[in-house]
Amino acid sequence: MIHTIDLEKRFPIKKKKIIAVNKVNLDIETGEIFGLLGPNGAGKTTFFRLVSCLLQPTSGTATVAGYDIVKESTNVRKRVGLLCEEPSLYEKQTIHDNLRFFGELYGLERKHIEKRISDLAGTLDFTDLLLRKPGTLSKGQRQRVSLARALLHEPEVLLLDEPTANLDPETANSVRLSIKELQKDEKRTIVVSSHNLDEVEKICGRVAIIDNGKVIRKGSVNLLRDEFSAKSVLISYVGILPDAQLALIEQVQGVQEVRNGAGRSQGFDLSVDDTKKLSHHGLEVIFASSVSDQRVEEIISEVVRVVAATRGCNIVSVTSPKKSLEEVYLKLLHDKSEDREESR
Amino acid sequence: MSSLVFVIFRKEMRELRNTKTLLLAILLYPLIIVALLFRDYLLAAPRSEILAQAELLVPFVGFLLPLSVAGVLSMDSFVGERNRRTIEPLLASPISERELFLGKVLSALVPSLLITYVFVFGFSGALSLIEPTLIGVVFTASVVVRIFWQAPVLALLSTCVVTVVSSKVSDTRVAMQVANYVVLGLVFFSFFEFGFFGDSLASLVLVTSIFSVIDLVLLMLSNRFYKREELMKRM
Repeated sequence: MIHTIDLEKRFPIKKKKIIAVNKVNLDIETGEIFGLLGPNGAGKTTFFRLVSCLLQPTSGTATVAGYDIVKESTNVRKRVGLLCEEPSLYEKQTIHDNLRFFGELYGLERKHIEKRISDLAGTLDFTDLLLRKPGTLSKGQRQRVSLARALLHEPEVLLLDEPTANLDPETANSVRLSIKELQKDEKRTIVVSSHNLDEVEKICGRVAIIDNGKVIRKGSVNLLRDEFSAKSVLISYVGILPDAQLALIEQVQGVQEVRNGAGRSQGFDLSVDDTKKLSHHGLEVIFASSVSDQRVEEIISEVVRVVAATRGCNIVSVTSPKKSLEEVYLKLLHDKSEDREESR
Repeated sequence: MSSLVFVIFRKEMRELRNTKTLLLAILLYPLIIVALLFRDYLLAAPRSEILAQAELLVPFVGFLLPLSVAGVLSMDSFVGERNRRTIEPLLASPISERELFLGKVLSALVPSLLITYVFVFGFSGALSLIEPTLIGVVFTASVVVRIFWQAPVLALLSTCVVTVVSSKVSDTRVAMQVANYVVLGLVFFSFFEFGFFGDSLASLVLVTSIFSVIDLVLLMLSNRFYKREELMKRM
């Protein structure tokens, strides 16, 4: 649905050329919710402005719904709905007039506009606000109206620039649910830009992490988490694991580090077993980075065998911890800034 | 003319109707003149004096009002959209640069001419009830040309120029200052033209024809004055 090839945008600022979008190659397929992650100034908004034909690329090409963003920009605009970071509503006009104006701009028939306004107001829960002016609305309500404006002409592609920025958690959640519903019902392609990683993790299938205009990593959320998760296993058990057994585990070939403790550790909630009033302990075994996937399986078997053979020690669970998208994102940005420091 | 031009026009008219203070500010000027003249009448000023004032004021206001009102409205056309952050969704829609420009120009021009003609006809009509000879005295051929041809032509010129300026600056004060210069320049030109040619109908028609051609060229080239990208860059 959206395909970019070496898409680049430079802005001349004080005799220098700032690269806002740097040779971006993305393939976003029909019907997927794609996340664009990056810190402020990473180039997310510029990317949106390029694919919605508000800006022209300095070099490279892109197509949206099969239309070239430079040569067939009117066709692209007809098929794209853009939710800007700011709600951007006409303050002197009612919500109904705001929406009607955009319906007319997209060439919809008067009757169809009224039907769409009524349907969207129902779906996004602002029917009772239609005759009010934007100034009397809360931020969340304004954002929902803006979302309706972006959807009025039933676009094939929906670009959402920071859709929940500045919203309280409850409203942000309702907007997020609306976004998921929109994709479910109409199989629309949705691109969400955000620096709220939790949000992206909840609603997006695939993401691209962008920094300084460049895509530094892209892929499915699960794949990224797998790729960046340390190779380790967490064994939750009840009982006591003697030091001798721990030393045995440390000696297993391929084991780099062993951490043993009760309570909360490394993001794992090791709670108290209410039925037996026994504390769950956590044994985290971290493998050397050179260890192959096959060897990892063997190590896990060996470690489990040692723990299970220990008298008075019962295994509750064996899990392979994954990094959250937030950890992946921070690690990538950290690595990138270190690279930049080194190159200086 | 494309229907999208009228979509912009209707939106701007709704905005203007709902901006009561701006409407009041625009209407204040002709209202003050009406009030002053009727005060003179109520204070029983001689009819010859009322006639002399009308002879001076009707052409003057009929010429100046469309220029000043169109200047004020067109000044806000793009810089206002940008400052209120409404320009991004507007430019993301399928409207062309030319349609947007023409819609903005029409939205400044039509209300300014409407207000002017309501004033000219209303005021002259009311005074003619008091002094029936007024219409014949005030509305000479050159006054008719000035009010009904030259004033709209110059108002269109100032609207085009100020609208383009409004698309190229990000500060309302800059746009306002430029609008003032344009309107003042056109008023001075008109005085100069009057001083140079006197009340000659032929010269008035010639000068107005030249400005009409300039307007036509400006409208034809309107899509070259700015690009979406320029409007976005200044956000």
